[in-house]
Amino acid sequence: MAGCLRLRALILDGSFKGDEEAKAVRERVAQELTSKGWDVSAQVLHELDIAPCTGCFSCWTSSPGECIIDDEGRTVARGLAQADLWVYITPVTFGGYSSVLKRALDRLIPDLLPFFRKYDGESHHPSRYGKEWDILVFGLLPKMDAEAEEAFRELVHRNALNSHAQHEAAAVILRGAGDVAIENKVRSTIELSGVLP
Amino acid sequence: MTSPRRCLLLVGSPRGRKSTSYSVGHYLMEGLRASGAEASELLLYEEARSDPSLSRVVEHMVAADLVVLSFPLYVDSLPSKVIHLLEVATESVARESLRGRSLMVMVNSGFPEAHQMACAISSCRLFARDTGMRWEGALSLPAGPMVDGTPLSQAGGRVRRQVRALEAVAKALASGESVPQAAADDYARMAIPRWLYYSFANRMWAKRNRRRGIKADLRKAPYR
Repeated sequence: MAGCLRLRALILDGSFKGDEEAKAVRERVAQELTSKGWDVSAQVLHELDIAPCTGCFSCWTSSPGECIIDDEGRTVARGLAQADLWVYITPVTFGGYSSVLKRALDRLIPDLLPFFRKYDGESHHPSRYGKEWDILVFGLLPKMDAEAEEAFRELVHRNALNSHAQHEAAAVILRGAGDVAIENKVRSTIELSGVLP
Repeated sequence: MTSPRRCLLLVGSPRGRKSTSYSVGHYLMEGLRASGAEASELLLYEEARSDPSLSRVVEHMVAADLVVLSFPLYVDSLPSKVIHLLEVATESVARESLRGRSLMVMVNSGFPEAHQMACAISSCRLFARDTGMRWEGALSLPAGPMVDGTPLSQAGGRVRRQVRALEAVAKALASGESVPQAAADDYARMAIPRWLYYSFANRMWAKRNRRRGIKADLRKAPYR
């Protein structure tokens, strides 16, 4: 990538306070992407002051592109808008994301335009920035749960459709698997996802 | 399930009584009341501003035979506050107390395709599985802005399918049956074709601004 701008990745860690395995995943992802030349930043969401979305749609009407709630939810939305790759880390919660991660994601609506467009026969909102944001999601599960894993992968796929991603990956890591397993899963997920230039 | 005596509508929209989640949920509750059930309504965003108050909401769920959870689709899934409630419900001592209670879900979304709500429904079904609640089915309402919080009884012909479906669902639930598939299919059908909905929805935002005297470039990109 000599002479090119470095691609930017934003990691959103949606774990709860004290989750050492999520922290290990976050650090490993950051290390792996940095070693491949990415400009990486991370937000530990439970440490931020982010109010839930109020569904007022001001970010699509009176204050286009910016949430009217002046808190760190804006920082996250700005970071996501400017990134090329979104990485989420979350406990798999009912086959989806934790409330901590979701509180931040619910506030990313300003990064999309309010209008509907048809993409491959399905309705989606165009990106406000004309970008296609790739998505990698790492979910932590306490034990094997095929039903939850399937739902989780489908949710990541739906998010990828809505962010117009060219590349996407959902990886499930079992708790207690250990550092080597985390390292291998993170590396293989990034390599196989196609996000590397 | 046996016929539910106590039904609880839990509204998971921050817009509360002005929301589409409330208007469709309320209409269903009216149907259950008409069938002799005791139906109460609770607005999650008003009731639960903190973790302790979320626990109180869970107590209301435990006290009901049938919980109807009605919420808008946020980023392909449940709003964060609703997820938080479900997290609290599975962590608290109430978890075992929810076993055997019934759960039915109503999702609404701006997208004109009902299948875009499938992930949210899957999450609710997994919550029911994890708590031992009985899964009574789900309803997906596409093109939510066509209702936009209007009471269904005043929304006219554009919601006639939904009204018909909710009446069938209320009757089924009151008799101890799950959501009939035919009613769920009816409920998920839009009154107008997608191209016409696009035309309405894509003008709606500028129209809202004009009504309030606001001038704004809807395509502004402040984080570029």
